[in-house]
Amino acid sequence: MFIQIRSGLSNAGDFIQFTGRFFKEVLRPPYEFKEFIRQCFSIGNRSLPLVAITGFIMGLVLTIQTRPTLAAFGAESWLPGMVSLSLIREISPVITALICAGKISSGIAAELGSMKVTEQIDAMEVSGADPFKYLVITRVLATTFMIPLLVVFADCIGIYGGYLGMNMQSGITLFRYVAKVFEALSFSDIIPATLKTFLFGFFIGMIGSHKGYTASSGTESVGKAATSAVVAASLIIFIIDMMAVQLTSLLT
Amino acid sequence: MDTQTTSPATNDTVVKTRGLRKSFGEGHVVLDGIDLEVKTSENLVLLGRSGSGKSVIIKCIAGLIEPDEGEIFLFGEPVSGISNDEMNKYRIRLGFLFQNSALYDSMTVRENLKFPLKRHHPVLPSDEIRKRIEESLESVGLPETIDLMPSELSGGMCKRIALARTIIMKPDIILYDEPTTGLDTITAREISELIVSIQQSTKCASIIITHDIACAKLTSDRLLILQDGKIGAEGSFDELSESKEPWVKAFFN
Repeated sequence: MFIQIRSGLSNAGDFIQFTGRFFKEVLRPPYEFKEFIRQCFSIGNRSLPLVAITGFIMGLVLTIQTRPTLAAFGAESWLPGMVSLSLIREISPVITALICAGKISSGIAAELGSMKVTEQIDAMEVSGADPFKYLVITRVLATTFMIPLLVVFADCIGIYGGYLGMNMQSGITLFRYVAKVFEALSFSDIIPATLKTFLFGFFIGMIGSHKGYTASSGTESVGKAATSAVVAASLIIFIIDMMAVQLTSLLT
Repeated sequence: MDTQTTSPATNDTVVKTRGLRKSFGEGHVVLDGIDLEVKTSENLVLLGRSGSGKSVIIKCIAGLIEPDEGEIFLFGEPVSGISNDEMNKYRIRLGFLFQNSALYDSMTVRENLKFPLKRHHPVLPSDEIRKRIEESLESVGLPETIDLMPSELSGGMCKRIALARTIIMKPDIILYDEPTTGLDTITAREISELIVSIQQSTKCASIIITHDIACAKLTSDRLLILQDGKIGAEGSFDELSESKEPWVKAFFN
């Protein structure tokens, strides 16, 4: 028990130090702009189909499940507003972030871990490049900027899924549906929800990079790094979400 | 760090270490006072049992591992304890061939070769970069692989490409970490011959770590054998292969 606590604290200390190094080096030239763009494209493009399918199913299922309850109270017309609010404020950011934790964070951890094991990171250092800048900073910045975009994309697809779900039982035009959605939404719903996705993205990239970059030698450590990246990133997403909800309710 | 002052290397000394010590974990001493010197155009081969610290020595020289004690001189300048940015000024003249080739998986052969060039010479014209990439690939006999990914190459080809990536910087010294490990006898011999031909054409110095006695025989001007973290024996290949010491003889049988 004591050993587990000590190891947990040591890992947390390592992670804080790693995050500190990120902030120390992120603004210091040279900038790896090309690699950052490549990572943005890779992270965004590779996750797009998965996020689209999940977003669509979230919107569709939420509409179908909520409809009978609202219908019982004669409040069926609130359905577009309710579904869009639920999606934008909570469901879409958290589910998209969890999917990205599973796909991107583990991918980064496995990639950097195998680079470490096969001495590619050492080779980079000997080549005069700063591997931390080239591998870690570019990936963390890419996830920080791409996760919010993926969440916005999932919101849109989810809302469209909700429209199709609603149309299964009652006819409503897309224009009317969208008008009802925007009636229900305000900036205080969209802004806090979008801001927290930057934090989700930052931690997804940071945890994946930390687990991969600090993997010990041996191929087994690559698998361990990938698995522990998913677990840690998923957990931190829920913690950030809880804190963000508390903060938003205090401020509004 | 050892504060004892030692004389820097002479003009024709490329690498010099004094009292290099390194331990890992809880007191597991790997290097226990290593003194070595490599002169211009000299091929030094390091032999030793697995885990005897051969790779640790060259990683300390390349600045990848910080020694616990001792001094390292590169091209006559002390480099112990200097920052990574300062170390990069010396790395431009130092090549490193890794045991597993360490080619970047996500890059083509062309990009692998371009990577160190762009880092060390950011303003080099693209024509000059292209020319140097083609020359390096020619010198290792693999110009046709330029647009292939490392996953499409055999182990021997990866070693050659890694060697091309090393010599593209025209280094003054190349550190080879087990260049023939994992290769068949014929390919291993080809790599050894390539090392000799690169050394003859570029006049660069080399430190070669190997377990392959055929490679040591072909490439060495001088041999060092590590024993218990120290240099146990030193001499030419012929001298050491005829040694009366049973532990030295064991390497050559």
